[in-house]
Amino acid sequence: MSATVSPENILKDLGNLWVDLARQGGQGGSGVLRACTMTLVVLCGEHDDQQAIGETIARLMPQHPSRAIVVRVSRSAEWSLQARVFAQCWTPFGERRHICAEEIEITSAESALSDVAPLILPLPVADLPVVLWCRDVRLLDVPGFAGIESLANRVIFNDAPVPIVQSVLTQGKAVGDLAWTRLTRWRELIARIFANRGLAVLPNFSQVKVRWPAPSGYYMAAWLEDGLRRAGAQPRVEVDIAPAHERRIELVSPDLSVTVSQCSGQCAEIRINDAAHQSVLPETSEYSLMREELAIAGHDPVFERVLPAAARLAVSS
Amino acid sequence: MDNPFQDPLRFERHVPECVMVIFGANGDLTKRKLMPALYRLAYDRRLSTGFSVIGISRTGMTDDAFREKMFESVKEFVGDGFDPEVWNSFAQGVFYLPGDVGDLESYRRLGERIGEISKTREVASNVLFYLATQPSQYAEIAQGLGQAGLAKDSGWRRLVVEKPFGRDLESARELSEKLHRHFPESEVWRIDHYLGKETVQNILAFRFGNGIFEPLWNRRYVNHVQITGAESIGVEGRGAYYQEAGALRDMIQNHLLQVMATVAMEPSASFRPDSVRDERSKLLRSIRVWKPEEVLENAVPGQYGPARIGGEEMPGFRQEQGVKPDSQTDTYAAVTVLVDNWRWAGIPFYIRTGKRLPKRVSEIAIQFNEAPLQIFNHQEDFRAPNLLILRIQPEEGISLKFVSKRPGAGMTLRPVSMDFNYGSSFGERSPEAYETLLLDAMIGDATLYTRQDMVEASWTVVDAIRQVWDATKFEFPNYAAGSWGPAQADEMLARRGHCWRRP
Repeated sequence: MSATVSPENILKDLGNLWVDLARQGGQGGSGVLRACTMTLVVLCGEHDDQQAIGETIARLMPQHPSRAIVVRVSRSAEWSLQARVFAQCWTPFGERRHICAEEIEITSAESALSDVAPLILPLPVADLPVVLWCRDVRLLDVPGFAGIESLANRVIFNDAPVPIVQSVLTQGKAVGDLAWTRLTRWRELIARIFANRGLAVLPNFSQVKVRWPAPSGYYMAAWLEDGLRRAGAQPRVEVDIAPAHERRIELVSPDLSVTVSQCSGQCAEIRINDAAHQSVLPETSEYSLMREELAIAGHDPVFERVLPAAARLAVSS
Repeated sequence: MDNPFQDPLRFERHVPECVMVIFGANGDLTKRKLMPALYRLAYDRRLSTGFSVIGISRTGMTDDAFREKMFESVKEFVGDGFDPEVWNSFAQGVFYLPGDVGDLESYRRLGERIGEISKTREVASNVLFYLATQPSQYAEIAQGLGQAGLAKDSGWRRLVVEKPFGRDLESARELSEKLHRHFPESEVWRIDHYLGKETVQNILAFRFGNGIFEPLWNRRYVNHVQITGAESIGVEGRGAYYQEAGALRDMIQNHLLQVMATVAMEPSASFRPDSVRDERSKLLRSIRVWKPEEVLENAVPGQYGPARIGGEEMPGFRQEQGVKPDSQTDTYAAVTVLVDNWRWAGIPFYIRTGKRLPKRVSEIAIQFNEAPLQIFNHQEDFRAPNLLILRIQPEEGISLKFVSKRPGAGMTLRPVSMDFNYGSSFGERSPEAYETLLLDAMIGDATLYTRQDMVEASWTVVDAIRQVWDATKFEFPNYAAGSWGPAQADEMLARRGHCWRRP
């Protein structure tokens, strides 16, 4: 750890880290390979489980090797700012050589938060994309943090209020929210219901009812509305905010009712008029959600198309 | 109308319900490649819920005995990633039918079994017939399926055939004609597992997804291209088969010419299967066919002799089991290929393949022209040419070689390498070629499958060489096991001022 927390010292520590790793790898005779495809800046919330986030990042590294810059806020800190650098290493199956990605952990007392942005701005890897994972939107109000946001090519939120997500999009930035990512397998299930011959009935749907937790429910309703409108329907959309175990959507037409609802365990029940069957949904974790998000390098056209309608629904309800 | 709910960026490709029928279910290909690939697809939840496999071969066996046999081989070939729970669920859809491909009754029973399984497992009437048998049985099986009315139904019926697609142009045409009597060309899927390899697919991404390489990808900047498909093993008990095939037929006619076509083809207008295949086909048809008097200068056969490697005596090809003591089979082939189009006119593509070479390596090396003016005189190293190497196996990746100044006083140059390693940039497991190709066949994406016109174009090139080689008596063996091939192959390149690189 450097005596003074400054970008220069952090970069120097990183340089030393790689020299040490190379030495260790050299002694073992197998070598160390540095892997980096992006800079991932993680702004952690005050109440976040720091250990769980650390584990998520460590699991993400083999799929999306990055220079990870993790900012933590500590209320109880006696010091103002601390930084440390370390490597996340793994050995691919059947190989002897280690692959390592670097991580910078910056811990700030609440009073020193305004010093964090100037520290971060020089740290991203040149010429590679910067992804900001903002776990607490309140941090974006901290002086200087808007600079971190503008540095990012893509901003990923954790269940942020929909209008805030939309405001990032209006700045022209690629944006995502794990509240949307959580819907992927449900959306896929719904898309399959209407694949091929089912497409013909889409223009007849006149009503969409969504019972879902916020903010995902707004996205789900907006997505269904968007899809049906593209198929020629003019549906009326209702959103009811409900707990996760009561998730349910209903599409109604004069002669057809399609319901998709949560059943016990990781399962969804699909009911078309009187016929019903169940489908298993894979479990999601922050790791699986972030893995999906990081696989998208730029804009997500479907999400961005749906976002304005979701914001409208969120504001109106 | 397209499905307005589709989200191609996030949704997995939809795999329709289907039954896969494997002819030759008791063979090596099924055990080593097909079943492990299907298991991995099941593990990754890529298969549809009711997906079922019916294995057919002559051996009498129950469903359970077949499952037990496949369990053992999948466990062996999948290794650490084997999950018994996934297997148990997958195995519920695995069935077996003893049958003779020459017996019409077998096809009738197959039809009944497909019907039963479709009903009990709620699978639509889509069937993928996979011919993992001797090539000599392909036509017979297609005929059997046709006569039993299994080649057509309300769902799709696809016929996947393994190489070799014929022994020469004439037999390839004859085979196609027989297959087409029952399956239209659009339902004949010729599998070439090389094209399913991630790095081969990555050639397209590399060339057409980046702006900086394509401008250099032509006769103005490229000096020559070397394509190597080397194997360190010998014929491994397949001497009798290999004696009839040889390296030119076994590797160059299919795998390596397809790889070359991917490297050299023009950009396709879209990434639709037929657009990509049209361009690959056009390239193959642009290859110059050597006249008989040009063949021996531009195509070198080789056969390995005995050698001592690592303290162990290695037999020569003629000493392998099932091989004639005076065999004229090529276990090595090196060919100069010229492409007669505006992009590549005059640029040689050297293709080589062989058994018992020093190591197993498949790669494409594109050598660029030297700088037009050499200002760093009196140094040997600076002459190291710029090379772009696309590594297919064993370590998939891309390297760019260039010269750099050595640290310190003076202007000393040395070649350095900038490496992109596929495995480390993307930590996810690369799917095996058969996983990609089987999934593509179920989905109906033929981009990586070989079309009849491509097969015919490759045979046209290879036949011209083969005919001269067959009429010539070569002094075999002409390279020692563990060496990089015969001296004549080096001379072939030297005549054009080039030399083989050591991979």
